[in-house]
Amino acid sequence: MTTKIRTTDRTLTDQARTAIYDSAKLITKATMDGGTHIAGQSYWAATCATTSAIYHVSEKSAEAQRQIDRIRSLWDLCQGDDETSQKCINSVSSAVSLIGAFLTSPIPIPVASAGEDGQTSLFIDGENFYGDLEINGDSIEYYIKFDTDGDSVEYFNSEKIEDGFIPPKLLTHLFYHYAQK
Amino acid sequence: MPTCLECFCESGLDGRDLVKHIDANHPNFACERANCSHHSPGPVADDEVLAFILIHPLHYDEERDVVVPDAFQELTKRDLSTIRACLSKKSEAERTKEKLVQRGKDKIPPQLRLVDEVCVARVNEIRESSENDRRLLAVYDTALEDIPAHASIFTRSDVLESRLLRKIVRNKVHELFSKGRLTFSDFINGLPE
Repeated sequence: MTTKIRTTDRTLTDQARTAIYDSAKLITKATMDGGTHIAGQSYWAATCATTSAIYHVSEKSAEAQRQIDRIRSLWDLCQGDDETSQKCINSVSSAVSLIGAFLTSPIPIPVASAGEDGQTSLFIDGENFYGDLEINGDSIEYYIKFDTDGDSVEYFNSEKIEDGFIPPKLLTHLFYHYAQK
Repeated sequence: MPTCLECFCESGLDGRDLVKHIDANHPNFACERANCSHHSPGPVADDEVLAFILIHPLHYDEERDVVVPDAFQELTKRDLSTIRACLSKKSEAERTKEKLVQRGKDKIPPQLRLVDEVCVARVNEIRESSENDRRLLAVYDTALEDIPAHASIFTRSDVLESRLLRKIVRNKVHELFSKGRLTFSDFINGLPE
């Protein structure tokens, strides 16, 4: 088994960012439309070619909401001293934003969890894919590992979370793995 | 040089300080072959199975049926408490469960903790975990007075100082334990009274 820690090409990052955010806009629109069809005009959805996609997005939406509820239910862990408590609140807030960002991407919604020292984590568990994303305030430290062409590839890095978006290098690693599927 | 028993029971150290102390005095996990507690039933053998009690909702997402790597975070801070399945009794396992639930109730504000599942892993597989041909994990017999079947998984002190190695260790332990899950009742039903 070969293990590589790869560096990220900035050009690839920018390309991925553009592609994923374009895709995100379309999915967001579909989510909103899907909500309308399900709530009121379901007859319209029946004739729509993208019905299955809308239902898929709605399921993803529901799962994102469930994970946000899950992390909020662990909010009680944010009751240490003032410093830990503030760090924890910031981490929970970042985790909630990131779950929203995953919703508008082709990447599955991660499972959220929280530790007693003020950090939160998101876990992506896929077929031959392991993603351990640890959030501390507004920064994220991640270790992702997956198999590609018989090789085991690992990425480890730490990035700042800006404006609630998945940080660019992490997004690139995830995107290129999930884009192959 | 202090013996393993002295390192564990008389140094007054815990957490990272204890890991460093053991590494400095007994490198290469030498204390695996020694008794590390006054209540010790004996060193942990390679063919034993360890059980780690999962706390809901902290350690897993029931709906997705996924144990999160965070469940094993104690290992990268100090050590991971487990139970030796072959030596445990029903009453001991119940007592451990009650302690975990009570620890949640004692917090401010109180935390609701449910214990419905355990995950198990083989000691030889834990001990075989390595990175760059260096072992990452040790299993020590750390029996407690009221839980003689208690054992602890430790890592090397340099692992605790490296952010990458901490993540790798978490991944290894997660892989080992998350594949062997069973309900708490199934686990205790297999134990002697």
